[in-house]
Amino acid sequence: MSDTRRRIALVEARRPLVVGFVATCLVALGVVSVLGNDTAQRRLVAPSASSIGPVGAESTSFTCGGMTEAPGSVAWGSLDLSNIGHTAVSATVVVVDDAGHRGSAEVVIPAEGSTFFDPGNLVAGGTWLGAIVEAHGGGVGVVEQIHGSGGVTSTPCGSLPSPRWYFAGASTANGQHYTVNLVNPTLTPSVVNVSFLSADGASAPSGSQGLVVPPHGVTTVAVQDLVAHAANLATVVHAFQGRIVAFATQDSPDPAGTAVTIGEPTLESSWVLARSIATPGAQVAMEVANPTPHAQTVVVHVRIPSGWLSPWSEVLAPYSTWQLPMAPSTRLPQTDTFAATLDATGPGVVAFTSVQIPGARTSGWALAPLTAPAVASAGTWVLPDLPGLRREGISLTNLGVTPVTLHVEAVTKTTAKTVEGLDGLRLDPRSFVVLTRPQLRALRSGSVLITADGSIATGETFDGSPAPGIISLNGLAASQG
Amino acid sequence: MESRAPAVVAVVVGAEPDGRIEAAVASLAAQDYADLSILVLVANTERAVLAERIAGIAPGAFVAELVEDRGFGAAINRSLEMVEGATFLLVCHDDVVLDPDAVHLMVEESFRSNAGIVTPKVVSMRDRSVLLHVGQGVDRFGTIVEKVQTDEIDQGQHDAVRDVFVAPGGATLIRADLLRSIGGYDERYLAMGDDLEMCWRARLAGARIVCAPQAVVAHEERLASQEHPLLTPEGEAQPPSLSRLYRRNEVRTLLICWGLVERILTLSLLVPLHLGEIIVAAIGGDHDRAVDIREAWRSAFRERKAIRSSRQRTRALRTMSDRDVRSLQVRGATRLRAFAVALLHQGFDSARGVLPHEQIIVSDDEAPELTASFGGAFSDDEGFDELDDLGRRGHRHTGRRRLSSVRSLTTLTIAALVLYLVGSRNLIGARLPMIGRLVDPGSWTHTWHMVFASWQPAGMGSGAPGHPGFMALGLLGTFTFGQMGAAVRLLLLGSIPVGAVGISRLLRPVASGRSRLLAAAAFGGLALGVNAIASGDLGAVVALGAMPFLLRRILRLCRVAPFDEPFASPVPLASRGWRSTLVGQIAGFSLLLTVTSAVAPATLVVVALSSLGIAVIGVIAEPKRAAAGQAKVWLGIAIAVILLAPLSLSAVLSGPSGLSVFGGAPGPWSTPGLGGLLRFAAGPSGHGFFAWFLPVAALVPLLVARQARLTLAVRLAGAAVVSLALGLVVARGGLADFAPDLLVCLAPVATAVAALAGLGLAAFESDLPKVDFGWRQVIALGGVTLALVGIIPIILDAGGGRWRMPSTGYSDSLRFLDGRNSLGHRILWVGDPRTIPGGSWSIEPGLAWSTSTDGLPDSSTLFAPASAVEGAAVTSALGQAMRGETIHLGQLLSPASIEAIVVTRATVPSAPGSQAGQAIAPPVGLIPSLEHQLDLIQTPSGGGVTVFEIGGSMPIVGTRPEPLSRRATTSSVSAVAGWSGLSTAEDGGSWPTGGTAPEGARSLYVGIAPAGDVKVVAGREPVAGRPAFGWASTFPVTPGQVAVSLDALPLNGLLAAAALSGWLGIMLCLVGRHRWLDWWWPAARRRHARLSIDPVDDDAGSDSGDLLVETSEGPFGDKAGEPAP
Repeated sequence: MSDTRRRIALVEARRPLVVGFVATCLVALGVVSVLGNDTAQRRLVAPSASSIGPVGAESTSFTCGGMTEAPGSVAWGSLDLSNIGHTAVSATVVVVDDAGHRGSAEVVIPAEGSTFFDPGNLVAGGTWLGAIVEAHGGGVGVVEQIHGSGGVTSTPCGSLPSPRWYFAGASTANGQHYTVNLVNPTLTPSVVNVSFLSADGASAPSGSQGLVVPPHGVTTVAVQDLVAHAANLATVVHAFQGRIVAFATQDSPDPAGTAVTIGEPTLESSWVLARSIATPGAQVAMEVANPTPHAQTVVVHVRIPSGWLSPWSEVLAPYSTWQLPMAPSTRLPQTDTFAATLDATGPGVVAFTSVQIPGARTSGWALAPLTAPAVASAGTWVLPDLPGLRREGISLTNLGVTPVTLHVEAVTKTTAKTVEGLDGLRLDPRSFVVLTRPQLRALRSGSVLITADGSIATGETFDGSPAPGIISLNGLAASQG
Repeated sequence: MESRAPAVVAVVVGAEPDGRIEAAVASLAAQDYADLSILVLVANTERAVLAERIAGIAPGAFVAELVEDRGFGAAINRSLEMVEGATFLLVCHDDVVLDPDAVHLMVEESFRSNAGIVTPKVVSMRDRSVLLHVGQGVDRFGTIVEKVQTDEIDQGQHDAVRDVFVAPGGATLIRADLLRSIGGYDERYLAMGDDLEMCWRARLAGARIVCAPQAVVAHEERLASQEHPLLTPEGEAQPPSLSRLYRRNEVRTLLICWGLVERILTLSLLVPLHLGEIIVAAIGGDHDRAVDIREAWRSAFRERKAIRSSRQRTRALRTMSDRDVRSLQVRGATRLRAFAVALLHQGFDSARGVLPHEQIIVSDDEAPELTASFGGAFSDDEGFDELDDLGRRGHRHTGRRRLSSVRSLTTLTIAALVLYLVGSRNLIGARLPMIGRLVDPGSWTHTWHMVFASWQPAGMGSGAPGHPGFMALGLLGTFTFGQMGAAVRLLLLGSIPVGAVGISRLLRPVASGRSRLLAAAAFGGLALGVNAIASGDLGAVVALGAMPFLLRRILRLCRVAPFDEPFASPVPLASRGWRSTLVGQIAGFSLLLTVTSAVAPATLVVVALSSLGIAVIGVIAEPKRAAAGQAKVWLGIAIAVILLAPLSLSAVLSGPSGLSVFGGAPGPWSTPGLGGLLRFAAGPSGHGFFAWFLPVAALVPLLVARQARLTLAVRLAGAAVVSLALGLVVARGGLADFAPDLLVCLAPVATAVAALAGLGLAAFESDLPKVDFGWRQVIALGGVTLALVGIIPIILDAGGGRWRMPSTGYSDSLRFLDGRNSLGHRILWVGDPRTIPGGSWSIEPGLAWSTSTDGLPDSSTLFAPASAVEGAAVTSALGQAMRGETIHLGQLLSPASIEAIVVTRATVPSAPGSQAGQAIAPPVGLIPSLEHQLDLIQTPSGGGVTVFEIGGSMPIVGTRPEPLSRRATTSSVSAVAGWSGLSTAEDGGSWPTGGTAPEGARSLYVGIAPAGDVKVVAGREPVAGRPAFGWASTFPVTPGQVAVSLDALPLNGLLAAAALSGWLGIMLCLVGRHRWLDWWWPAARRRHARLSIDPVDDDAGSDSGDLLVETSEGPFGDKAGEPAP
């Protein structure tokens, strides 16, 4: 037998081994293929509407809006610029109004400090204004504070323009005015459709379709002119070209007050209310909207210091809204601070909390978005201080299922940053903690920096209005880059 | 009694006194013709001795000695001077024997038909029943057409007097006055064609030429059988071959005998025919034929004066128009027709003359007894004719032979080619869209400039050597006469058919024709080829086309059965047979790998891994020979790496980033998993259920094949499995920066699948008949069926005419970026590496970047250098944007002169309603992070791309009044503001550039890397620069003329020249000294002729397992094409 024939005979004899080897390889590759299946892109973590850029960033920006222009007007506002970095950061503030006027100024935000800026002084001749803050560095957070004739309220400025914005909890009933302000901080013109959800269903008035927001421009939508006499009104803003930041200003004659809030850029299936207070005389409600074509079941769990309340549940029809009155209610003891979670079974809802003080002469209305998961998982938060207001309380809420260790410190240049009991604080699952007044005093005035090794929601309220809780802020998520 | 018959002088021209002449003279002496004289003309012999011998046979014969043997025609012309008073001359060779009545029958016919020339019926001397000639015809190209078939038996079927065009040599009766009037024979014809030329002139003079078949002459044809040596033409060192002499005389005759109009027409037809014949000869390795044709034209050119003189003499005796002459000739091109018929009936090798014409031998028990059947004439059964005398159906075994005949296989092959052409019809003539590597190929000179240039414009600029891909394209462009578009098209569309041929050659030793055809069809039917074409991935297409040849070379080097013959014995470098030696085999493998890897560098990796796969599975199948030949393969790979020095050196020097030369990492989210890879669904094709059929069919030979088919199948499976594993890891993003082109990774898999599909059929044909019927037959039949059905989707794809390639590319949808006044700026392209036109550099899986200068990408960025010099100027800024660390990306990119960012989101731009490309999204955060930038303007740009424009970016070369601070960074608004481009007057912004610095200009910025190579001359003085932004440079200037140039040592050019020399050197060695040296250097050819020649042919079977049989018959040749001596 020749060598070739012998070799061929050997291969034939080993055919089962060969077939087995090939089959094994294919199976192994199949396993690798399945185990290594990362074909779906990691879902982009929904950006927080208001987050503080990394301290080492080259530049960051914030867009503010919903403010009125003339001093003493209903939503006259100012900007609170905080810097958690160790070096001062310069910033350019460009102020634009709905009449096309424009002005700019340079400000310097001191290291581990804050500064204030009145944008309304830079332009005149329009009604509504927006401000674009371009910080030449990171670690800066910007919050706008409204202190006009409508009272005091506050909302964070937007750090990321987005093509979609959602609002809930507005009203055009009883002579109330509701204005959506669209600010375009980019150089790309935006074209925007604004539609509304109410008890009467969805509507897309022609007057709010195809709105052009020019680069560095402001466009407003007077909702009461389009959807009159509607309560529990939700708003959907969709920019099909370009990106914008949307604010809503609720001006109410009764109870008298003005509320300004930034919108939520995404729908989420879970939300966290970090801190609220069942203030006697105040009406606290959770405002939920379902701007999707799917019916969703929404469940709200409320946690008070002593334990959990029985949950609320509601099935939200497609393109519908729901207002959940939380306080006063038989379930929630008055004066209690409470936290809450909202879970939806579908693609997501948008949730705000509203506070109304019937009969108030000023500051009788407040609106604030709940905390989104992206913010809760940030790891670092900043609770800014507001000038002229006293911090009434800070809540740290862990409504997850694992304990979280966190550190609370003051953003200050002094060496005594930490406070006893707040460094290495352990927060049990499904619980929240309210910082005591001595602890708040120890933190002094100024921003508070909170770091945690898990997801928590942070919120603060300020005193200085008819009711505690009418001015509340969620913690600003900070990047750790 | 005085004879009244006209006098005939028989002139016998003898070359050697070898005894044959005596037989000829004896036959003449025995003629019954009354007035026949015999004149014997001899040369190179003793006249007296011969005269004495002749006298004994024919006492009246006259023997004359020629002073010099200058051929038959010259001898006859000499006889004209010697003979007076004869009416006819009977010109005879010395190897003929005439029947006793031949002369008088020819004379009678001459008078009866009024013929000037009479030719007899010529039969074979060896077997007088075999016909040789009954006169000859000719076509317009001078190709002789025989009136009889080869070895045709004389049964009286040609015994009618007829007009012929040529009286073939041997014994021809010519009226003496006619011969004198036309000037006798042309003495420049030593043999082969002299009769044609003489007869043609006789026709022009109005003479009639007839064949008198009653006159019979036996002819030995010693000249045609090469028993008789040819004379050496004047001025040449050695006698030419018969075929060469014939070709030479053929062309010469045309030039002499045709009038002006017909000559032009005939030559215009003949030139393409000859070119085609040369191509066929080149494909078939028939070097001699190509040389014959070339020499025919060279000879005609060399003797142009003599030809002109002959033509003038011919014109003087013309009484017949060319049109009338044409009517006497055979229509069409005889040689081409013969080639086509042979190709159709007997295949290419027979058609080109390598194989003898096929003779189907049927064993006795298979052959039907088909004798004359009376019943058949009356049968209503259409198949009655197939019944033999015993009532058996004659073609009862046709099932086994179905689609196995040469004719049917040829027909199917042609059908497949036609289908491919139909499927490619809209890509052949139409403009190719700008996608993948199908950017504007530029000019041939620019391509070579890129090879030798010291600076590459890709990215921010680079001093890296030119990519070898340019060298490969430049070489190909040379063969397309500088038409680079045609070269690219040739690569894109020609590679798949070439690969199909490679598959056929891979299986040739172990598979039948139809198995190989099935394998080739499966190769073309796999989705990988369509996907590679559709995405414009030139590299993948080339790698796919070359992979069958590369695998075959690997198997040969590893001596895996059936490629396990010993290598040929060592011979001197580049001599005959060198290609079959071990060194030649390694060199051939290296060169093929080099050229392929130049266009698709990932081929290096894939081939190396395929070789490993062959060894790994060898551990199981043949443990003792598992690694045999691996060293040779790796040596070949190492040589290829050296030959790719311009690329490999720069890649090594670039460190880890140099790995990007093999390809950019695709996004795992947009690549298929194992199932998709097995179906080759890495593009628009291969996603259907049918795409599973071929991979499944490929498993069959592993189960049922035997003999060498099994060993081949096993090794191919090994290569496929390892390549598949590599592809899967790349697709899953598991190798970070090292990500060879996914389609190239799949090329060995496709090759193996196609080959295994063919081996399945081969096993069914050859292995299974030897075993009892059982599951094997069922599986094999199922496999064949699956393979056949698996091809259907590609057949359907052919309907579109462009293999799913879109019609609109980036040059259409982004035209607005190309034509505007933006000279001196760059466009940044960002996206998945598969979607970026031209070359790119990887940033992370699914994200790569490149730049184009002054508009859309062109050939300059077709291949990216190994690493992006100063690429951080772009990537760090992009990273900052994606991490949310900047809202001023436009400002950060401004020093890089980026004026627009194009984010590609699909393989092609989409056009609603007409075109939708395969969506390949970049990392999800990319576009939002760009949308967040406050200084970018998003531009409406159609589907598939997102375009952001940057206003006021710095020009590549610009000036401003304020000097640039030494500590300026991109974050400084003041640093990047205020720059304006030079006012370029004459060159419109081309590079190197220059222009006028405007009034007030104090600082010049040059955004080109490497900054050290930038030289600036302001006015007439060179100025010293300093770094800007860490990578660019700035120079102090004053208003006025400024010239910016690059100054670097021409090391790149030297390296490219060395690499090119290596390529060409190996190429010439493989072609063989005996071919290229002889071809171009006749003196060397003559020297070479004196050397002993190794009879082993280069492509002998040890190389490929091919058949060793070769014949001297030519490609188009058959008996009809060869003249009688």
